[in-house]
Amino acid sequence: MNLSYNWLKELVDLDLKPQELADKLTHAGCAIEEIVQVGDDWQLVAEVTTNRPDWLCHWGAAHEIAAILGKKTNLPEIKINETGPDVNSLAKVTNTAKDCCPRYTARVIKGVTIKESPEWLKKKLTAIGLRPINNVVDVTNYVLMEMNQPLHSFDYDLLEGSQINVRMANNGEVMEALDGTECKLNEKMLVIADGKKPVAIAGVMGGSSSEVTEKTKNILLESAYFEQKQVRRTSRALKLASDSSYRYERGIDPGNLERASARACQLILEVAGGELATGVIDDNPELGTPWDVTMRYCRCEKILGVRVEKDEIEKIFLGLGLQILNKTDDEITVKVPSFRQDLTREIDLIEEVIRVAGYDRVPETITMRVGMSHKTKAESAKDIVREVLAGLGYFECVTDTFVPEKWLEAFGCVGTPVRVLNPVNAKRPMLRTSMVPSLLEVARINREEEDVRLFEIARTYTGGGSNSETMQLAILDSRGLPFVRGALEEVVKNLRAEVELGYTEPENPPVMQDGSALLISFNKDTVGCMGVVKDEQAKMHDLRLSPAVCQVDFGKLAELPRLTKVYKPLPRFPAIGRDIALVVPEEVKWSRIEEIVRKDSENMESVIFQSVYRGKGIDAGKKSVAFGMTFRMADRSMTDDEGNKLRDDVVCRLTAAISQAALR
Amino acid sequence: MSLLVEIEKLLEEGKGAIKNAASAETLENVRVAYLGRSGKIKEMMGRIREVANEEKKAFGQGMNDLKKSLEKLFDEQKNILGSSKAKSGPQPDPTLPGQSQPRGSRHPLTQVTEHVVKVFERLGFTIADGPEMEDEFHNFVALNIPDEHPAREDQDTFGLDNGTILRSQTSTVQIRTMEKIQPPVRVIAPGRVYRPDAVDATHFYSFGQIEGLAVDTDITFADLKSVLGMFAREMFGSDTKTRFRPSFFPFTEPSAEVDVTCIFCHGKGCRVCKQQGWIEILGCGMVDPNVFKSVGYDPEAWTGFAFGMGVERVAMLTLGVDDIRRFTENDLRFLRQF
Repeated sequence: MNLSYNWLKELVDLDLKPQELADKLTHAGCAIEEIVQVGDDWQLVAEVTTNRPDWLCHWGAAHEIAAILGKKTNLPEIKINETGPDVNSLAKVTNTAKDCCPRYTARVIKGVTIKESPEWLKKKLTAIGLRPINNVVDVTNYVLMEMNQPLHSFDYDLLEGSQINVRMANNGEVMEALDGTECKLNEKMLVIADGKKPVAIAGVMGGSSSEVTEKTKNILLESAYFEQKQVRRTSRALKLASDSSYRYERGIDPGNLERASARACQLILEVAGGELATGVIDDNPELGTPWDVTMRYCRCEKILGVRVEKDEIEKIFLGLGLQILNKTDDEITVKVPSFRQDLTREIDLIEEVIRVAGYDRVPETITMRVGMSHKTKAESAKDIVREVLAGLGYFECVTDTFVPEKWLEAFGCVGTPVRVLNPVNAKRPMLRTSMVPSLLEVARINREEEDVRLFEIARTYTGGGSNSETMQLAILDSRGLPFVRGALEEVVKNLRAEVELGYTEPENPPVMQDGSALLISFNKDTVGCMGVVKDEQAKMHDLRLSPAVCQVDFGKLAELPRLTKVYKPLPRFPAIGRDIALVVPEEVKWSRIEEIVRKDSENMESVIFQSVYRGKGIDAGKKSVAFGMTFRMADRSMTDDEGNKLRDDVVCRLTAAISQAALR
Repeated sequence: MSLLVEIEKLLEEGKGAIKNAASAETLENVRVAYLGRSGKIKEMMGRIREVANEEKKAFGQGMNDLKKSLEKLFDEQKNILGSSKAKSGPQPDPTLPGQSQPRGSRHPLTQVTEHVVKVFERLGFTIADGPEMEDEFHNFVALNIPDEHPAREDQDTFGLDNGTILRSQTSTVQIRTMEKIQPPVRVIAPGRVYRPDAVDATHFYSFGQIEGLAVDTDITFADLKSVLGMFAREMFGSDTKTRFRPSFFPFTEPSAEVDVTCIFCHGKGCRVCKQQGWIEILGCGMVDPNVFKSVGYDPEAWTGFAFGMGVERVAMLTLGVDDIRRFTENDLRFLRQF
C-alpha cells in the first residue's frame, strides 16, 4: 500500500517530516518499508499486516496517526445533492447470493461528462502510483484509496433491462474482463449480471461490456460487501487480481458502503457533472453494526507485565475511535466501529493498549519461574556424533530434502516414496528415501578434492499411509570402506553404547558393489548398511571413483543404552605379542580368520588385522593375511615359550579349519 | 721412570692427539690407538705386573683417571667434529611444514543453531521436535490460521501425495508439545521448514527455523522482552540493544518484530543494516488464547510467549555469507571456513 504524505497532511494536522512520520507508523505496527519522493510529495510504501485492512486507505492511516499523536482528524465532509428521480425507478437490484454478498448498494447518476480528471485528482493518484484513466473511474479509485471501499461504475445504458442481478455464475458462462482476460466462469463464482449476462466478477474485476467510456452518459455505481473467501477463491481460480480483490480478501468495513458511495457521488458530480438520482438501493443497511468488547484491567496487566493507568487506557481507546460504554473499577467496555474488524476479543484490546502506549513501556524485568532443561538422548547423541566425526576429519553437510526421481530407482527405495505436488524445482519432485545419493551429489561438487569425508544427520521419508520420517546418519569417505567402518565404530565407542555391533553380508545388496556391502545391526536388529557404491551409481553422479558410504538409523543409534564411565584397573603384568602371516585362498574372509583365532584362546587380549599381501612369493588365487595378537595373564608375566605355544595353537586351528591355509 | 710418570706422559700425548684430530676419521684412529682393544691404555694396563705391590693401588687409580679423561676429551672432540661430519646420509630437517591432520567441522547452519539453542538451554528451555510432514491442523488451524485466512496467502506450503503438507513453520512444534505435556512448558525447537519460494540469493525453498515457547501461570510480555534481550546480548555481544515493534502473527497477541542493533556498526548505520542501525532478527508475541484453546489449555489459567527466527538469516548476517545457496551446496572450500 502506498500512502501519500501530502494527502495524510490534509487529513491530520501533522508537523512531522516524512521520515519521522514513517518511524511513528512503523512503531505502531504499520511498517514503512521505503520512502519515495514523487514531485513535491512523498510516497510511503507500507507493508500492511493482514489483521489491519483498515490501513489500506488514507483515512484509516490518518485515524491511526491521530491516535498515536493525540490529534484530531480533519476528514472532508460528505454532502450530496439528490436532485434526480427515485433511484428505484431507474434500476432494480436482485441479490440471490446473500451468503457471498451480504450487502449490495447502488446509486445512479445521469448526464455525466466523461473526460480527463482535474489536476488535483490526477496528482493524488500519481503520487501513490496509480495511472489516471477518466474522471469517473479515477473517482472510484480515489475513494478506494481514501476509504478502502472498492467501488465499480457501470455504464447504465449498457446494462440490459437496467437490472443488477447478484448471483452465482452458470457453468460455462464467459465474460471478458476489463483487462481483456477472457474468463470462463462456473457455479462457484459470484457475478454481477444485468438482465442477460455477467457484467462483473464480484469483487475481482468489471467486464468490458459495460465499461465506462467517453460515450457514457449515465452511470450506476456499485458499493458492495463481498465475502472474503468468495473473492479469494474466485481470484485464485481465474488468476485475476486487482486492488479491489486484494482488499475484499482481507475484509473491508461492511458499515462503510453507503458512506463511500455517497462520497464517490459527491466527487463525480464535482468532476463529471450530472444529476444524482434520489436515494440508494441498499439490501442490508444493518450490516456493519458496531459491537461491544470488555477488557479487565487486571488481565491487561497480567499479559503485559506492566500497569497502564486507567485514564491512559481510556485516552488510547478514544483516540482509536472506540466508544466507551461502561467503566468500573475492574473493567472497561467499548463499542468497536465496524472498520476495526480485528477487535473482537479482550486480548485484541490489550494489544491496542500497549501498541499505542509503546512497546518500550514494557520493562525488561523477568519474573517467570525457572527450571532445569533436559537433553533428550537423541539430542546428546547428535552432539557426540558431530564431535567425533568432525574430529576424525569429516565435514557435516546439509543437503536438499527434495531429490530427482531417478535417485530413488537407483538406490532401491524401501516403502512408498513421497511425491511433492507443487515442486519449485521440477527436477527434484520427490522426498528422499536415502541419504546416500545426497552425499554422492556433494562428493560430485567436491570432485576436485582428493580426500572427501562427509556426513549428515537428516531425515528420510516414506508415504503410502504409513507416513514416516526416519532420522538417519550417513557417512561418505573417498578413502574406502575400512575408514567408513572405523568412523562408525568410533562413533559407537564414543557414545559408550552398550551394544552388540554386528555385520552381515546381505543376500541382495541393492546399492553397493558386489561383495562390498554389509548390513549393520545393533543387538541383531538391522539398522543400516555400508559398502562401496556401484560404479554405475558413481557415474550417475559424475564421480570417477566409487566412494564408500554408510547409512544408519540415527534414532536407533541414539536410543542405545549408554554405559557410565567406570575405572578398570590397569594390567599389572606385561603383554606378549605374536604376529602371524597366513596364506589362504582368496575367498577366505577376515571375519572367518578372526573367528577362528578368537575361539577358545586363553589369555588373548586382542587380535589386530595388519595387512593383506598379494604378489611375489604368493601363488595366484591366494593372499597373505598378516595380523597381530596380544596375550596377557592377570597374575604373572607370560614367558616367551608360553607365547610361542599360544601362537602355535592358533596356527594349528587355522590350518585345520581352513583348507590350503599355511604359514607364509 | 716410574710408571706413574709414564701415565702422565700418555695423558699429555693423548690429549694432544685428540685435540689435533681434524676429522672424524682421524679422531676415530686416535680413539683406536689409545682407547681401543689393543690400544696404548690396554697395553699400559698389561704392565701392572711391573708395579710394586704397594704402588698397585696408585697405578690403578692413575690408569682409571687417564681413561676417563681421554674418553671425556674424545666425546667433546667428537661433538665438535660431529656437526661437520653430517655431510652424508639422511639428515633431520626441522624446517619442514607440519603434517596436516585436519579436523572436519560441523555445518555452519548447525553451528549457528547450536549457538542459539545453547543460550536458551541455559535459560531452562528444553529441545523439542516434531514431524516435517504435517497436517493442516498443526501447521495452520491450531495456530489460529483458519482455512482461507489471508495469512495463508503469505505462507504457501508444499503439498505431498500422501495427503500431508511439509510444515512451513516450526510453530507446529508449539502445538505438538502442548498436546503432549501440561505447563509449565519451556521448549526450544530447531528444525527445517519448507515454503515454495522461488530460489535466489536470499531465498531457498527449505530453511532452518528455531521456535521457542514458554507457558506458565504468570508469564508476561515483560518476561518475553527480558528473555529475548538476554538472548540478543549472549548471541550478538553484551552491548547489543533490542527494539520491539508491533507486528502481526495469527498465533500471538500482542505480536512483535524484534530488531537488534547492527552487529557490524553497533547502531551507527552501515551497508548491512541499510543505514538503519538496526537489523530485524525474529518475530515473537504472547500466545494467542485461541492457540491455547486448540490444545485444550485454559487461556484464563495460563499465559505464555512464543518466538521464532530463521537460521539462515542469522547465519548469513553473523558469518557474512552473501548467498543462501552456499549452505546446501556443501563445497568443502566453503565448509572449511567455519
